[in-house]
Amino acid sequence: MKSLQNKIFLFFVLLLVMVQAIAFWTLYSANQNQEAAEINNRLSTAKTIFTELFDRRLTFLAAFAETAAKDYGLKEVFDDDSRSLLVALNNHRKRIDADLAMTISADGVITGQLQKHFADGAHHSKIRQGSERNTPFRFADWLESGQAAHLYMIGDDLYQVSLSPVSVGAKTIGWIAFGFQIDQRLATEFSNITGLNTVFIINYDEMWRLIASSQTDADSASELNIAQQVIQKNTPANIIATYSLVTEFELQQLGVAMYGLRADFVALLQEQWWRLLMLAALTLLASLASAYLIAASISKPIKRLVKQAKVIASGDYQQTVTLQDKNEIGQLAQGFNQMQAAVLQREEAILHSANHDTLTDLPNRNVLNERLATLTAAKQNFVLLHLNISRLKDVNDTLGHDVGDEVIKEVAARLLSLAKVTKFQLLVHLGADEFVLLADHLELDDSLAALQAGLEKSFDYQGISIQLQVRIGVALCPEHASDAKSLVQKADTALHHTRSTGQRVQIYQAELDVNTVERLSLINDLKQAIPAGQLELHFQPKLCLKTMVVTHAEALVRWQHPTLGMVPPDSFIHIAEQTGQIKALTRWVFSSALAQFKTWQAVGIDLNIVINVSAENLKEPDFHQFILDEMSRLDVPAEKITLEVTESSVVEDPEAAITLLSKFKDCGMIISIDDYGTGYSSLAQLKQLPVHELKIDKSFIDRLEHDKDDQIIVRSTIELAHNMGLHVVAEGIEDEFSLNWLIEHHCELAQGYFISRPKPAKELTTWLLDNPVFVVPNK
Amino acid sequence: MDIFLNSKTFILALSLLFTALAQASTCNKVAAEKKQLMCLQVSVHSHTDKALSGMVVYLEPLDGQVMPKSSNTLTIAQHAQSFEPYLSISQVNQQVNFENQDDITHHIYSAGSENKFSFKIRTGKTSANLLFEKPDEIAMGCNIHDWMSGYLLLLNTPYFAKTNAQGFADFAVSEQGSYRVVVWHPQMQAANNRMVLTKQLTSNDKVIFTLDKVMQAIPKQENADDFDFLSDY
Repeated sequence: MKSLQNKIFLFFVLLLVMVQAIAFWTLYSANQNQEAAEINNRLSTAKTIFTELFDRRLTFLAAFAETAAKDYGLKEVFDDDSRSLLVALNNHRKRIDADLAMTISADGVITGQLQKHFADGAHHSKIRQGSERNTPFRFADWLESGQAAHLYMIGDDLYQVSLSPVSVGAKTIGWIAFGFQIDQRLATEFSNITGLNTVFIINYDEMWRLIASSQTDADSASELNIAQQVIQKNTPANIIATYSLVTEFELQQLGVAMYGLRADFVALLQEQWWRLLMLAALTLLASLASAYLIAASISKPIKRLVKQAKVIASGDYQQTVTLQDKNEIGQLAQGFNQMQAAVLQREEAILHSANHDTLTDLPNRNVLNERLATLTAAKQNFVLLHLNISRLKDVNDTLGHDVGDEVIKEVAARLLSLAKVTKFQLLVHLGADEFVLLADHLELDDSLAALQAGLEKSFDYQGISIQLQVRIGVALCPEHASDAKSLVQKADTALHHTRSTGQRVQIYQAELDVNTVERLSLINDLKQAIPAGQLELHFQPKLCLKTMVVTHAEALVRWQHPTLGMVPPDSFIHIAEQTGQIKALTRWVFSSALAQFKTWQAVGIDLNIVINVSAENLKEPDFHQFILDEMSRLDVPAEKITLEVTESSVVEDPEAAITLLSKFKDCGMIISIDDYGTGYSSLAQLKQLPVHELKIDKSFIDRLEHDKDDQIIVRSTIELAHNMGLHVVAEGIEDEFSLNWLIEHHCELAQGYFISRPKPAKELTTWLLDNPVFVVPNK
Repeated sequence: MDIFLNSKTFILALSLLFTALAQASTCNKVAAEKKQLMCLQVSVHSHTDKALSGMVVYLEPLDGQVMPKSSNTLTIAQHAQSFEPYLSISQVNQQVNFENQDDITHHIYSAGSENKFSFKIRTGKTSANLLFEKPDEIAMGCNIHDWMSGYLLLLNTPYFAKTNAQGFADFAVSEQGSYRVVVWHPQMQAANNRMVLTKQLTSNDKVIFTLDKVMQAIPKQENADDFDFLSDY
């Protein structure tokens, strides 16, 4: 209902109806006025006609009576025998066809009286002598007064009468009178002229009586009633009427009422009115129809536009709106087409950016997913290579993200050029430092070789030479997986594995998969691990290289997962840190480790307990208080506790970390920097840190035998630490050479598989009791 | 015309005066000469007690007195489209002559009485003598000149006269006895336009009539229409 068409139509309808109503009202009131005016006019005309006609009859009678009175012939027989007189009288009467003729003698006696009688209808009349002959004339004063016109009644007949004296010289020898009857003929005549019913009534003896009516068939009582009402100015509303009164003398009054039914009179006007109404209705209909057409013609192209807009909204940009109109609608249609083209262009751009990496403009994960879906659906054999640029984070951290981006672009460019010459099916940039290549199955080795070769050359950026190294995880379809998702996951797993192994290329193997399987479920399961008692502590001993006695034990948490078995800490510590569960985990480790300390002390083993503290722990406001509470609760001296903190955790918020660590140091704990050498911590920071020892990362230790650089680094670090008054711990000792080398270079503590793997407390207790002094095992 | 009329009226009045004077003197003279004659003087006064002239007075014997017969001929002239005199009195069986003195034809008629007559008189002619046998009061008109009006009073007595300017009418009566004294005038407002009195006449006597009502206007025998070409015909 709210459509434009309806609105326009409604508007038109309202407008038209309003205009019509005003026009109609104007017409109506004009019509009413006209009606009233016409009625008035009609009535006053009728009255005038009546008066005129009535007076004219009298004038006529008077003139005639006067003329007849002068007639000598009449005078001659005036006093003669009645027959001659009557003949003469009738001769005169005939001339004007008077209804009454009378002679009155000088002494006031009626000597002759002729009355016209209608035998049957108005056509056949007979003249008879009147009954008043030889009786005195009733109105002697009329004879004296000289007034000619009178109303005269004989029986029930009423006449207009004119009297004229008959004289000889100055002597009046009598009177002659002529009269016209006031009867139905007169009423009918008036009625014919005026078109109004005419009723004559007379009032004498104080009572109105009906004389005649133009309506022959009407009920005389009702006619009398109507006439009386009209004369008494009490006209009923349904009739229009006028009246005239002729007063003869005080007690005799002739009333003439002329009336018509209002309905009859206005019938003609009504007919006009109906015609007008019909015309108005017709024009209204026509107007409404054209209004509808106009509304439709306006809204039709708009509807088309709306339809088109819906088509465009649905994503179909192929159809264009074609409107021939040159008007606004046509322009709107053009605008639509332009907009459609622009939207199409933009959508293509969006689509492109959705499917391409913004940095390198290479296809992104979306494209990869599509392509993999296509390929796996076609059951094709292919290889998925998951590439990761090594140490990009380092480049970002040291040279800035701009340079990092340049490195990524360079790698992308080289991969792209490689993809052109070799038979890579697809090169995808997943984002950041990760790329994916799809290659043919049979050419895996060639591909890998080409990759290594292509990326071997170092990248010069503004004078800085950067080594471009990628680590590659490889998964084969369909050998490793036949669906896209798991194929990518498997390549990812292989890539992950290169991180821990340090290899450049890793082809997926089923056993690699352990770490990453159901990583998601671990997050949930971890919540239950502590209360369910699934966690347990293993301890790895640290050997004092001076005394070759184990003096420290690092508490390492192990998770005995109910379905997955043993989950290594690398897999869940990170999860715990990210999900906020590290707080509870660390506290559990702390309490358990101190408890173990007490257990060992009970059997005479005195070890310094080393506990790893996460960066997240350092942010806890109540961490310090918890440690103090636990120490006092379990009665463990502070100097028996070493807190290992990674370089990176201190780097995040050095001031807070330094404050907190200072508190621990102040209460006597030993603070150790874990994984030293991987965190790029500045020496300035190191100087400020309230630490006792550095723990050199195992990545420097494990190739100590073969890598001269590592030897230099470790030696320098030891020297540096010693110069700063710090002890040095080396971890990751896996061979005798390393152990001896470290002894030789005065490293204080050593830790590694060569000495002992992390072991459950009980196992370690046995081991410690068996080996009070470490002896290099025999080969 | 006015001057003419006025002068005519004046002459008429003068002549009447002389006649009256003559009569009065005649009556007394006659009465003096003949001892048996009695003189009756009738005076007519208006209701305001003023002498009325031109009123017709006549005596009718009630005791069978023998009346002398008059052999005079009465002339009624039509002069200037009027009857002259207006009132003419005659004893029955006396010659009455209608004399047309105008240069136009008159059609004299009478209606409404026993003695009906009707005749035309061409200019300058005298009608045939008419002889009326019955006493009557005849109103006369002219069928051509509507306004003309005159009266002819026919009486059974020779004693009739019109009052003079002083309102007197004198009669020298020879026979004693009872008489009906009548004053008549068409314009007198009384029953039959007359006043009647019975008088036992034995010697000279006087009778005075005083009218009850005002006299009606004596009709002017003039054309009411204001055109005077008729006077030329």
